[in-house]
Amino acid sequence: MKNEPQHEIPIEAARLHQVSTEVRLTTDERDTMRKNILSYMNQHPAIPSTTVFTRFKELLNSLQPRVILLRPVGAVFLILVLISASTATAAEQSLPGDILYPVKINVTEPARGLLALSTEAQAEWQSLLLERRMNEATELSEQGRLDKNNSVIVSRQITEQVTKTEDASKKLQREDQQTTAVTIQSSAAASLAAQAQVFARINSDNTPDENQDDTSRDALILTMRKQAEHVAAAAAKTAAKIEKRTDSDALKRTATRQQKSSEDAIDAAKSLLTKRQDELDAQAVLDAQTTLDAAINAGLEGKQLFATNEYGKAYVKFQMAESFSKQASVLMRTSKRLRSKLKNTEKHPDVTNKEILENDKNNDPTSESSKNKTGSEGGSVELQISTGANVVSLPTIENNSRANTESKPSTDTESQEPSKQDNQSETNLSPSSDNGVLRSIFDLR
Amino acid sequence: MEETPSYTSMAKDDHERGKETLERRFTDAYELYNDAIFRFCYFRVFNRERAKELTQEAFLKTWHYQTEQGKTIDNLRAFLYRTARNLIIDDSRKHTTVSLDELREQGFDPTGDGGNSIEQGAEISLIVQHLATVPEPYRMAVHLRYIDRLSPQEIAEITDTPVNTVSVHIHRGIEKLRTVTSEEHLPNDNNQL
Repeated sequence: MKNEPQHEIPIEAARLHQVSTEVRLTTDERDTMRKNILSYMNQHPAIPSTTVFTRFKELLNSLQPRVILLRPVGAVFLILVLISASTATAAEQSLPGDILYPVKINVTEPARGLLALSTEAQAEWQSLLLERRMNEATELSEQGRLDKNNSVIVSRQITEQVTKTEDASKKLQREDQQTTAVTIQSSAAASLAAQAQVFARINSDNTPDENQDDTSRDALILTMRKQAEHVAAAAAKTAAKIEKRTDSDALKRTATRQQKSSEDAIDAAKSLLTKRQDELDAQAVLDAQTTLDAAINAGLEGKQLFATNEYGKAYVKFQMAESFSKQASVLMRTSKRLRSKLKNTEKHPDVTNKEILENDKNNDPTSESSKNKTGSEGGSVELQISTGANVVSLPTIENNSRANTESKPSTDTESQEPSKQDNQSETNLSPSSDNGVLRSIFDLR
Repeated sequence: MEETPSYTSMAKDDHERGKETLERRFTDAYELYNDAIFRFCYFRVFNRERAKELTQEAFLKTWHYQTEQGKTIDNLRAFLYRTARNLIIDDSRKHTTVSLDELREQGFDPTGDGGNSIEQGAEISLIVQHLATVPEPYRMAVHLRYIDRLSPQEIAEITDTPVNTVSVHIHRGIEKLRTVTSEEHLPNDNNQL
């Protein structure tokens, strides 16, 4: 190849290029072909803007607000979607007495409830709705809107929701899920009782002239207590069924799980108390601490029963411990939100929150040295919780505004007769009466 | 206050503008490439009338592709060549291949009624004869490179082959053409000598 002359390729190329100038259509042929092609083009007109890019550009153009209004179907659809979404969002924030509250109760919440498919999920959803109803009561009170009308609405909603929660619990029991049922029942009872306790404090701290909502709140407190007792009675019956169970192995595992759950709940409540102690008034701290101690003692009793292989009873005690922890948490949260309504917000002159906590540490039920401690400081009086094997002393503050002195709360299921206290609670609106209701949740059977 | 155009009128304007652009682009392409596509077809089928039909068919198919199927063609020139090539392949399956001897008997008429001189016509016919002896794909590579003056990259795009392969095809095509030409010229040269 190298021996061949290099100039031959250009010569061949030049000759070939001559073809390009000579081999071509004649003018007539070109015109005829043009005519045919243009005719075809007229019969098949062009469709521009067919690429993805150009379609995307069209979409962007169509999204311009000015343009949307000129496209009736799209505009109406978009407006409907926006209105529905904004209405649902606004309805979720509504309170009794608001225009959108019926939308919340009858539309958005039932729609969300459709997502709960299992019996357990449905029961948990009903329990959550009950808490929402109570939060609404708190918010109304916080905003000073708990008038007679709203109080009636809240009372009715709470009663209805308790019924629904109870129905869901019964359904769980029919499916042999007693443990889940009792958890939901005791949680509902604890929340209701805690809420009633804080509301009763507001009423006892304020004279009727100072707070126009007092009368309305009285009716609400009665409703909450009544429902708390109702759910507590149901929880007690469910707990009794669990105690009678004979499948010790399964019961042992259930009790072990419940023990862990109750310990977590107690830790959470303790953590909340430490965190919120500066934001709460002395009475709220004391109430929370008292309830928390009851939880700790119930847990200790549960451990003793577990050690003696009484797993059913142990489970109930652990469940009780968890409920008391929840009650303490609800007490703290509600008291914090309604702090402005509580007159007794100043610290006690002799006992500060920190001192209460320090005293509590000294009175640790697990500490041998605390068992027989009976000292009282300042205005505090001693409150004893009988836990069967141990007698734990708890400091409390004597509150002159209270009509009744604190009844001795007991978690001892063997010796307690709580029904007497429960009967009193319907007529007695003092905050102390709630302790009796709460501490008897599992003792009604 | 200046009145802003409505979306409908804007869309209509855009549509019309787009339609006009497509039509203008296509008619421009026809004016630019009709001869090239015709030559491309002619050097495949060596029949002027058939080459004309194929050329027209290539343009109509291309227009159909971007209107009926709603596709956008970025390189219209390359697309026209590819369409023509596919049509030629389909055509060759339908029609029996014409041998070089038959073509010589029929006589080449690549220029039509172009008004060329007898010498020019004879020269072109000779080149076409030489090119007809070069087998595919070398003939196509040589044609596109030296008659239509396309770059190897453009040829690669039309023929769906790598650029290096195109270069090899061009080189080998020229080699074969040179061989044919030298063989054809050799008796004449000897006679002159």
